[in-house]
Amino acid sequence: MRKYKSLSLFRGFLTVTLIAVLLSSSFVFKSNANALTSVYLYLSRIKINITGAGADTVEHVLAFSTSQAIPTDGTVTLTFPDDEDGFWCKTAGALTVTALTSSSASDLAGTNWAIDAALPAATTLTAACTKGSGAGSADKITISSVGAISAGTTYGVKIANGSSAGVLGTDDTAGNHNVTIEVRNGTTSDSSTFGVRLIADDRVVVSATVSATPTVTCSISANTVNLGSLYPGGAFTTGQHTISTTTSDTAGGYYWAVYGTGNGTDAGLYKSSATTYLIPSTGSTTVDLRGVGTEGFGLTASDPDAASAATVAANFSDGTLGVFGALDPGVSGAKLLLSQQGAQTSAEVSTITYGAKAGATAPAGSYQETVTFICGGYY
Amino acid sequence: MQIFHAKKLRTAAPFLLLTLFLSVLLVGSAYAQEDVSVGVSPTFQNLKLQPGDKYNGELVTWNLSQEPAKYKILVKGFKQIDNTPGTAVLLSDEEEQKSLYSASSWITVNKDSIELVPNKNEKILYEINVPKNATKGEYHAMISLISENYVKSNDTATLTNVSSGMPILIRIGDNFVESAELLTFKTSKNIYEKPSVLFTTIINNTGDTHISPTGEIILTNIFNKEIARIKFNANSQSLLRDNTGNYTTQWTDKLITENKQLAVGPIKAELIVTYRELQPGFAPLLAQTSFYIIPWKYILLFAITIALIVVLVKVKKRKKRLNSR
Repeated sequence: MRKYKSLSLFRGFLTVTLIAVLLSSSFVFKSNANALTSVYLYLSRIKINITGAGADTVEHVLAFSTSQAIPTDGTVTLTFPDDEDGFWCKTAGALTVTALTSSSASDLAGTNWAIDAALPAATTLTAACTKGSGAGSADKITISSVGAISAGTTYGVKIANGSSAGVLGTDDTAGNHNVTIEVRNGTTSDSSTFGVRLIADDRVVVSATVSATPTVTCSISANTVNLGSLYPGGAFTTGQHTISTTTSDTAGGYYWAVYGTGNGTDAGLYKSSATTYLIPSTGSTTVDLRGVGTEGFGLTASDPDAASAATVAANFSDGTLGVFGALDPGVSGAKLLLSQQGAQTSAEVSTITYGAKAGATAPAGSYQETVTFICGGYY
Repeated sequence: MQIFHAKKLRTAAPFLLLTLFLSVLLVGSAYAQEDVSVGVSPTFQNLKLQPGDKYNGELVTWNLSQEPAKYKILVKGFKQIDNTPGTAVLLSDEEEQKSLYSASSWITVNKDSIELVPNKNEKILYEINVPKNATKGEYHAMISLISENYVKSNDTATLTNVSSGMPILIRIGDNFVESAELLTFKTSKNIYEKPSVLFTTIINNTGDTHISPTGEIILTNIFNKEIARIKFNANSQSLLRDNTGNYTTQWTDKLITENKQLAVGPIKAELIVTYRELQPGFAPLLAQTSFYIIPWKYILLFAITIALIVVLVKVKKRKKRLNSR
């Protein structure tokens, strides 16, 4: 009796052990799941509560590489947190899926996140999102008909709203949200879970007001012009630079005036070292340097816009070679040089030509004149 | 001995090189040409204040050249340049002392000079404190920037500075006297070949505030048909009190004008100008002038053509007569 009891106990133990061994060996034998080697999910918007309607849409760019080859005709699934049903998949349905070889957002060349290849298709890639409903069922995006995946290759794919049905969105809570990416075909799968951070508002509104007040910008191309060598009793020499004016559309026009410095009493090229000497600019409205024995200094301005109404003051007209407008010294001697009515929104450029001629008795040395150009907009 | 020289040379070489480098640098800077630029906004300011008032404002300025530049900031009264309305140049110290309407002593700015780096806006803040005993009328001052030129040239050369600023017109009190007289209304020539006519109008402001006269010049031809209507002072150039202003108006059209009238022969031009802010229709300035448009090239061509036709007809007739004999 005792023998039979021990035998049946032994049989029971053997049966349980065998079942346990069989079950455990079948699990070990069939499971083939690893972590993804790398995975990157870029959301075009990281603002909470993206509705997916109108311009308030979000796109997902996914880049991943697996640690093992996944046979063709598999799936890639994005699973969102279980308690956020209906936020990531606003409307269930077909999505637009585009395999990417590059993306300015996620293809970070030279890093681990460089996309090597577009996600292959077994036949044609399709994608759809499904809404979760209660505990144990989460929002999902599933890409189907995925071609053979090679281990170590980073594949890229973009998912956006479908043309009619599927609408993507974001959760209504700022902070971290775990997303699981799984690449699977049957029992062969790689997956990883990581956090995606949403914020209350992802756009900075940059605003600026264009002032309606009139503006004027005045420029001179050179702060010094070398007039070269003057030969006493010789011909006149010249030097040039330009003046340029731009106004806002609201300005009524612009003007330039000019005055010299000279020796403080009269404008002109002045030799301040001993023996001091002035090649004068003053004394008349214009300085004619064409004749024998003449001496002087002056300037002319060209019409910046022959087609428009710019006016070069008569004294400073460049119409006669060798005749230059005379300057007066100091701000009280400022003379109108150039003016133009109406707004000038593109640069109006006039060439200033200085003319100088030394008389036969002018002592050798260097001469300078500081010319001040006053510019403004009409008031 | 040779070794000694070599040692000396080795010691002197760095100094020689340094001297050479410095001299090249100095020569370079002496001839360095740089562009200078200054921009301002607003380009003017019209204010209406009362005695004892305080006003705070700002002038925005910038430099669009390639190099930073230092500008001196000056506040002085201003005057028109060469009787051109809407222009402003600072008064000299002597003129400032004599000026009855300069408000420069009322204005303080937050800096005396400013360095403008390229492509960056800078603000100059100013405050106007109107004296309690300021009498009614219009006063003016200008906040002006003038570039400082540090170039040292050893050659015969012209050094340039640029200056710009913001004229401020300040009306104190109410009920201003707006009064003006028309001194001249004329064309630059009596006879033109085509409709490209320059009108000059000289107005004297005899009131106690600036005026911005506006109006029209109406042109009619020999058939008393209106051939054009031109805006006078379209850009509202202002004329300061106690000043005379020369306004120029350009008319350019075709011999058959835009309103399909013939612009040939004697043309009458009538000027109507108003300048008052209150009751502008009261006491407008009126004037009339005339000029001729004679397209002599076309007339000559026409006359030659007619003459040729006449000659040809006569020649033909003579030939006919000779043939008939």
